[in-house]
Amino acid sequence: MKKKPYIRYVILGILATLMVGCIIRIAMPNREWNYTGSYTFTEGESYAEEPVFEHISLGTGVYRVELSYECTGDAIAVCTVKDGTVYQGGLLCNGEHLYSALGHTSYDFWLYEPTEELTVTIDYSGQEKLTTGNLRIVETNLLWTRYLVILAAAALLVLATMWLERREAVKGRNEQRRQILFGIGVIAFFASIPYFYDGMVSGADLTYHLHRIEGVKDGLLTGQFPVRLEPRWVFDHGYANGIFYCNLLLYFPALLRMAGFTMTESYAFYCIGLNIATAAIAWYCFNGIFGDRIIGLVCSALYTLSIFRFFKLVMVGAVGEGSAYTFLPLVVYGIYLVFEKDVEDREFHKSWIILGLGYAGLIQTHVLTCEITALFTVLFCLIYIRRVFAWQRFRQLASGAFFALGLSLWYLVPFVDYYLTQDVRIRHASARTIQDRGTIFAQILQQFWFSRIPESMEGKAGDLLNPIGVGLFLVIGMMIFWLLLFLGDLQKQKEAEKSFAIKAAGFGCLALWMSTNSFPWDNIQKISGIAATLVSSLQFPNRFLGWGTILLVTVTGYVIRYFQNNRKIFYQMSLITAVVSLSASYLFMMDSGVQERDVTLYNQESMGFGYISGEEYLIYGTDSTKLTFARPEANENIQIADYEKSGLNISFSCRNDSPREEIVTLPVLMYKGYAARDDKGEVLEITDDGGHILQVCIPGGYAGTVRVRFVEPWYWRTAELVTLITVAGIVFFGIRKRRQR
Amino acid sequence: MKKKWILLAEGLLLAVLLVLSFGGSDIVFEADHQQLYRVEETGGIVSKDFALNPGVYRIIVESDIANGGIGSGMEISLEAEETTFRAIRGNRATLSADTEHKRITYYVADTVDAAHLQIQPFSEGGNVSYELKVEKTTAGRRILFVIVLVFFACLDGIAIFRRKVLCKEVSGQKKWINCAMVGIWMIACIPLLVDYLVLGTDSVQCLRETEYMLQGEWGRIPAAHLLYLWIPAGMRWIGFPVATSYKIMIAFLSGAALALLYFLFSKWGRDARLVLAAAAFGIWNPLAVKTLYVMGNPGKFVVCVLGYAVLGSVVWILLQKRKSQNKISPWIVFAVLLILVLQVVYYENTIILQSDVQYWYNEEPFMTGE
Repeated sequence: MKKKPYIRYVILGILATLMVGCIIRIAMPNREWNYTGSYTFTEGESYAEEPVFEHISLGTGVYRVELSYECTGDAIAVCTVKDGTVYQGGLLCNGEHLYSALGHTSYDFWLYEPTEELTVTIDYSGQEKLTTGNLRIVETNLLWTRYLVILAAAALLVLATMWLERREAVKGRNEQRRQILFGIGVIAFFASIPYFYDGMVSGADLTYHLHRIEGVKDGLLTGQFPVRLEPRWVFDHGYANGIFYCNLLLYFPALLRMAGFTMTESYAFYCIGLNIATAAIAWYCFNGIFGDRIIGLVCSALYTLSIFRFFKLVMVGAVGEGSAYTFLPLVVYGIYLVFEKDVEDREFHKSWIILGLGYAGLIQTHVLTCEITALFTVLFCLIYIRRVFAWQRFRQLASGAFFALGLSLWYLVPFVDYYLTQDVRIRHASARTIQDRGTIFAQILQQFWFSRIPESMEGKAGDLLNPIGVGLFLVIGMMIFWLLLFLGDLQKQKEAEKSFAIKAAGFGCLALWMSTNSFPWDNIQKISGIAATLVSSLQFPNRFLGWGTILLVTVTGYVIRYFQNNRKIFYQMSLITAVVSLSASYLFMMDSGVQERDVTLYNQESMGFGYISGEEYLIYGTDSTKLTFARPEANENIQIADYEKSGLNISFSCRNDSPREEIVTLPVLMYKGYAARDDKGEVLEITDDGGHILQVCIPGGYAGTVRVRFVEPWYWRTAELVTLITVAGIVFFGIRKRRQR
Repeated sequence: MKKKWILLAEGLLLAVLLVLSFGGSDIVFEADHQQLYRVEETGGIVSKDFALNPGVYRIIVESDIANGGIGSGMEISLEAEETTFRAIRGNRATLSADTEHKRITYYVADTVDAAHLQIQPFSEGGNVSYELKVEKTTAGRRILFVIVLVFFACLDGIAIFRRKVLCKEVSGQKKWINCAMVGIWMIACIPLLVDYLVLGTDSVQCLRETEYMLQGEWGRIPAAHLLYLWIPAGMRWIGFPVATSYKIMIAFLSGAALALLYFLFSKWGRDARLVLAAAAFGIWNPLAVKTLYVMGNPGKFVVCVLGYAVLGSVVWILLQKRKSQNKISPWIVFAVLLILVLQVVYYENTIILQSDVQYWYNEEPFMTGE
């Protein structure tokens, strides 16, 4: 059948027209609506959904609600927007908690249907005093920027199909590539089904990672790049999460948030992106190891849809760890290439790039997974010790390490700087033991999901009785491998994959053991202070199951390949078993996930600004219970006016009426890097109030405008430059190589 | 030659361990009621600290009833403020007012620098007169000997099997049948891999009968139960904890049932794969799994297996006569086994997650009530 390419041009034309329409709409001025009124809530009496402004008429759009209020306590009430006349999903809003220091709300809501019955309501606990005042509703461009992004993505997709078609017209139709793309697409699709709902599974880490995304968004919106301190986190005090926990990949959902997507949507798009990347990277690596695209796809499915990865990403909401698992196959493939490939092989010469990319990805997503990866890399090096000292292989290893370092320096330098100079809580975590949090052997074999843990389980057996193992199928794959090896069936197999599979099986068993509560973590912790800190920082031994999964997938892939070459019927049976095993496990996971899906978040304000998980990156001694939204504080000799805080940038005019130096305490956590200057360029001294809150010293008789900024040290900037040069260098190297070929 | 040296080394090591396991008990702590301290916050009484090494310990309580004994009763346990994960394994004992003599077993898995006895009396005041001793028993060395013996037996067995396979003394099919049998047995034993005791509705009765057997109260045990109770009783006699002994019995019964079914069906059937599937069904079927884990009734499990063996043999013989020429496709066997394994794993996963979690090491929880 003859194709009709003009259809795509028509679609592109329509998309372009709509995009122009969006841009025009964005360029138009936005409207705002002001309502006057006052409502005093009776103290001691609780109110639910009490309307303070009713019958508000608005068209489709994304709006910002600014309701002024006065209250004497924090988080005593929630302001939100309701409308019973619009369709389900036509109004998206979670509202905002009220704080005494803020004075007015400032949150967004999404309205997808014109209405005349919008109501601003208050849920009041009855504690403390509360009086609401005037209301201001401001129209934003977020609806149109959101549409613009969707249209641009659709246009890119059309362009990509056109490019592929043109490429095939020149080089000929490539059926294999189509099959692989289809396979990866199917795997990624199945892995992403949990994100096609309108809610999220309320995993233990979910809110923390949503705060990270919002932190990047807020940082970018207030002019920070790269975002080091999340400015609005910890009640607008600025939290140094970004310095310790790299947020590189979170720029994608943060940009989506800036473009007008809700939190749930941005998070879902990010996770879908992760799934696509994981499926593709896993296919690339396993195809490289086994040299077979079908086995590459099977291994990609076993890894991407693995129980442990699902547990971490979907059920726990451990975005950092889930993101890190995207890069694990690269490290395994890199190790395979360095130690098993012939030095004359073309693939061997790119091993440093694979290894470097894998490590850089791990460092910049989850340091703990990187720590575990480093341990396994050392173990691999020890077992291949002779090859480590072969110059060509050593050069690949060293180049990979330097490449990873170059790519990660922008993050590592601030991380090390803060870790060494700031007394953060994470440095005091050596007393926490982890062995009791280990899995039990039965969990490792768990294949099916269950939505509810019985009461008798809670608090017992490490209260982690979830299906967090690697699954029965992978364990059976490993056992078959050991049997084949032990009973002499693999004697005739002399290839590199076999040698690598033996090591993978051995370390896979070790990883499984290390994840359990029978591994002597407590005894290791007692050896020395460094061991105690390292072990304690792991938090959960089950993190080793990430490596357990990837190594067992490698071993299972080898077994399937052996059957493919030697016993066709077993090959077919193992493929069917893999599909059935994944489907059975997956169906139960879906059922479980649906039952636990109880979080739907649209705007950041609804989460509050205080949750910081284990408070790892607060300065040791900071009393987090005293932190809330606050205004600058000073004694009566200081007059403060025009106080403004935008992210990490603060400015205020002040006058010191006394002859001696006075102190202004600002609602900012005292991390290294803040600097205070006045409008004449004079540097003012900054001190710590003892509770690790920032103070500015105002000289006696001083009058002027003070500006407090977070200024990155020169060596941080230098590190960023090195990373930029490394990226540019590798792009240049890649293009040159491609042209040479 | 090398093999002989290895066997000799194994034998020597076992002989040393055997001799060691006949040593006497050592008293590591001794005190009377006047040497104990009261903890104001809890109202409990504690002894002074003493160090423990890995091994099996026994708390001995001797009371002088004439001078008040242990008062109105008490709970006693071995505790420590700081230990590695589950270094002290045991269950608190409840002592009634008329207790004259009591022994409570505790297992210590790692060195404990400062352990103490903790007593919670049922009422305050009144005269008491009792003595406490903590002694290290030889059970720990006996357990070590048995573990090493089993370990060497397994290693040597595997090595012999491997040699026979490599020398082609065992056929390819037989080799994989043996491996599959082990695999089937291991899958049937998945609920035993939890570190707690998966208690069925009748498990406590089984555990009690084991203790009656150890105490020589034969009249309280139905005769038929002796068919399997000797396994946990034997393990308990050696010194193994309650949960371990119970789990070993279940594992043993599963393995024996599988071996019996395979042996029986292989007499009638020629297709080894089909025989294997039929034998697997014998211990993977929902009834067998239910009787073994959900009910915790080994007797019913044995009856189920024997019933299945008889019924299966009859059906098999009848089918053999009618369809002796037909060969079953491997795909059918594969499909049956796949369905079977999925259902058994699902059932076992449910059992693991829905079972009551009990860490039982000594007989106190079900004999005196923890």
